[in-house]
Amino acid sequence: MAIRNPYDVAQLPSVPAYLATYSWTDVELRAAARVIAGKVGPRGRLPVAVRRADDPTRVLYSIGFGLSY
Amino acid sequence: MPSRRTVITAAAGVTAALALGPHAYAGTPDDKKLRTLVSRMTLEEKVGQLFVMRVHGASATAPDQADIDANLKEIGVRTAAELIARYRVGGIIYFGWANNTKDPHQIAALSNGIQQASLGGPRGLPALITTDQEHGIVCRVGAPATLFPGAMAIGAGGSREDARTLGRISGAGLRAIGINQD
Repeated sequence: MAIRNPYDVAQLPSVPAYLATYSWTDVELRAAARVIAGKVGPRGRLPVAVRRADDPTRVLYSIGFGLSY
Repeated sequence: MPSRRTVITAAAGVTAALALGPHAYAGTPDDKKLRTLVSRMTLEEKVGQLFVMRVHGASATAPDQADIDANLKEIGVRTAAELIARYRVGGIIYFGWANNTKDPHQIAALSNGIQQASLGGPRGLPALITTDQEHGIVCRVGAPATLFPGAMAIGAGGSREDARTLGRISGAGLRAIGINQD
């Protein structure tokens, strides 16, 4: 779970799922807890591009990328 | 003799016109009144209007001694009211570390004290009272103000309507305690 900017996922290529909360205040952490507990589904889309850690000229996840279920 | 309300509204209109230009001024344009006001201001007053300053203290006139000491050391005045009286600053910006934002009643009283000092000056100008209420990790005014996720999370939500709702709710909360610029 990213509790500030979503870029750290570039350093974690093996994680099967990654939840971006964008910040660490009560508001975001409560929202993250609701997603983890299944109360609400994740539906955000990346508002920024996440670049590759080994090659920052290449984009790992584009703006608008996001998984839902 | 115009009522007090009329005077305050007119003064607020002048500030809006100065800060935003004629197109952003929703009231009846009155260039003559504005030009007369500006022509009467000294250079020091005009320069002072360009500054939005920070100042320690929970009150505009009677802050804690530690805040008075910090103000004397940093800006040579004791209080927010003295800052306005001496330098004719256009506004004041609130910070938590400056003890400006403890609770809603205190903040409202501080804002009223600042406006009283500013409107009571020779030109009767209102002050810009501002803070960084960005939501997410930068919120100078805490609960019971309504707190939201930061801008990147709002961007991830992808809803302009949500962004507008956030701004409307946050702005109304700030306005209720006398903060007129975010």
